[in-house]
Amino acid sequence: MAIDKSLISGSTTMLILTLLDGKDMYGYQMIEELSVQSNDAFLLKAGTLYPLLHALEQQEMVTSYDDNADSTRVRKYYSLTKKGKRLLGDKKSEWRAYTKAVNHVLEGGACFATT
Amino acid sequence: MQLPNKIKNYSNSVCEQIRWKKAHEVIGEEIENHIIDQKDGFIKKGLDEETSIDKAILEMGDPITVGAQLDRTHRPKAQWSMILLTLLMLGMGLVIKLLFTNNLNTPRVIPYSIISAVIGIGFMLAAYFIDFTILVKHHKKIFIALTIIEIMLLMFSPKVNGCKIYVNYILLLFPTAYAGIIYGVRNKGYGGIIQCYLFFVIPLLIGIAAPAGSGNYFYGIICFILLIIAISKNWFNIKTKTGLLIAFTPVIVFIIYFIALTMRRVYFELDGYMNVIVRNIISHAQFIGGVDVSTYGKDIAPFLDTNFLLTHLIGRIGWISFVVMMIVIAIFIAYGFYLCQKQKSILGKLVSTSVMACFTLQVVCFTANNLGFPIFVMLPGLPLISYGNIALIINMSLIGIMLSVFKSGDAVRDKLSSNKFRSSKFMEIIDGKLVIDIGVK
Repeated sequence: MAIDKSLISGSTTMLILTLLDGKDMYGYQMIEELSVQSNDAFLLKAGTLYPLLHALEQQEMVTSYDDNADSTRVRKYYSLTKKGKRLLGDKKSEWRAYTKAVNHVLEGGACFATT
Repeated sequence: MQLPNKIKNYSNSVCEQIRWKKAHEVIGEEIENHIIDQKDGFIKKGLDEETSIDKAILEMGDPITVGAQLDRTHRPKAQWSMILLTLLMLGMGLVIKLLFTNNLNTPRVIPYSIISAVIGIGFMLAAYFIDFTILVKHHKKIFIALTIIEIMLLMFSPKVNGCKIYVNYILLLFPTAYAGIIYGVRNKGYGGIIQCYLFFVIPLLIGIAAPAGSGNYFYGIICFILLIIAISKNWFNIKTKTGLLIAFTPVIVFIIYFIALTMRRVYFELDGYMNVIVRNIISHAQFIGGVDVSTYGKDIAPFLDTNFLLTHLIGRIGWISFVVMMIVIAIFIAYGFYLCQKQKSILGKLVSTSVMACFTLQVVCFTANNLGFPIFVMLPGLPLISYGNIALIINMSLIGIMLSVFKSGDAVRDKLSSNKFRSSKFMEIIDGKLVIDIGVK
């Protein structure tokens, strides 16, 4: 099931950082991997991914290096930095607090609402 | 492999939105690679080539929007703090010369310093705006041109204290040119290291023949630092341990020779005329406030206000002057090296490190001399601050090159495709296809 864009956009950075936490990847691989891991729920556009990746690189959250794709092409791989790992930790905590609050509301609000 | 026009047109449209032209190549290549990967993915799913290309481009999104977003991220980094620190040191030097130069001893210091500062700023700006990758494109030509200049100077340069001073100055430029030489031998294995040594020896021999004094040692030390950086980054594509062993063997010999020479020099110079004056001033100096000039010969010792500027100021104003100057210089050095290690490309790293190492060695040796530890007698000076017109112009040019690296280093990548990963085979099979490479990009 494809998910509303506005829901994804807020968590794209966290998703990208999570992917890179596992292993170094190049842009196309990230989109494919995200699609596979989310059962096609997250279909990230390259036009969204690259500006975000480049901004993260400038903020030193990720770093990049070149490696060979085949005999004629060179691929740019991205790797998570220590600073990026810390950001990922913060984003995850933020996300957990957010989803907990949303679930709480969805499940009928705080316990005193029932009293 | 020829890139389909549609893909090229898309990446060009994205790049057109990015105002910083130097970043175009890196971004364009990444986008083109992505479209090719996406296209190959569609082909695997059963679509034909043409439809796959169209669909892959569509998946990318609007090129104008993508380009505009990338434009916000990709800007040259002017590094104003380093530019301001450079100008601060230059300004400090001029003010000090204006206030504390003994005009009777050296009447031309002030006008010459002003002229050389203006020329130095011009050279720094020129180097700042020139694309530093010319050090790679024309690395051998630059190295040979400098060598020819050195040979000419070897014949015609005047001798001061037994050293051909101009040979000494030009040697300061060689490590940066040498960075280009190291860059040029990527993946050439042990042959590459041998080639580096062959290039290394030429200026060294000229320096020894001159003799060039400190410049030779600075050159040697910096070149080895660069070589070690390159080996540790697997630049030559050899085993790092073996490479370091090869690089370190002459370094150890060099260090032993250097220590022996320094000890001998310090032993002889320790009781030399100037060093006795220097030690006398240092021992009487206060933290704030000048000492009686008569304690060190009525201010008339030769070169006290030029080659021993720090000693002179410690005597005239107190240690406070030394502390202030060293703080400014230390900030410049620390921040400079910080930016050097942040360089992504080996080229950027080698070039910027060569300049920072050259600057630092000059500072360390000049300071040691001025505090009564005469490591070298013939020094280029305290960079940007003490008197020395040619040294000033050379140092400003080098700093200009380094600032150019800091400004646009992010857009420079070490080319993998043209060397290691570009297939040397005329014909090969990739992904089940017969690929014939006729060498046309």
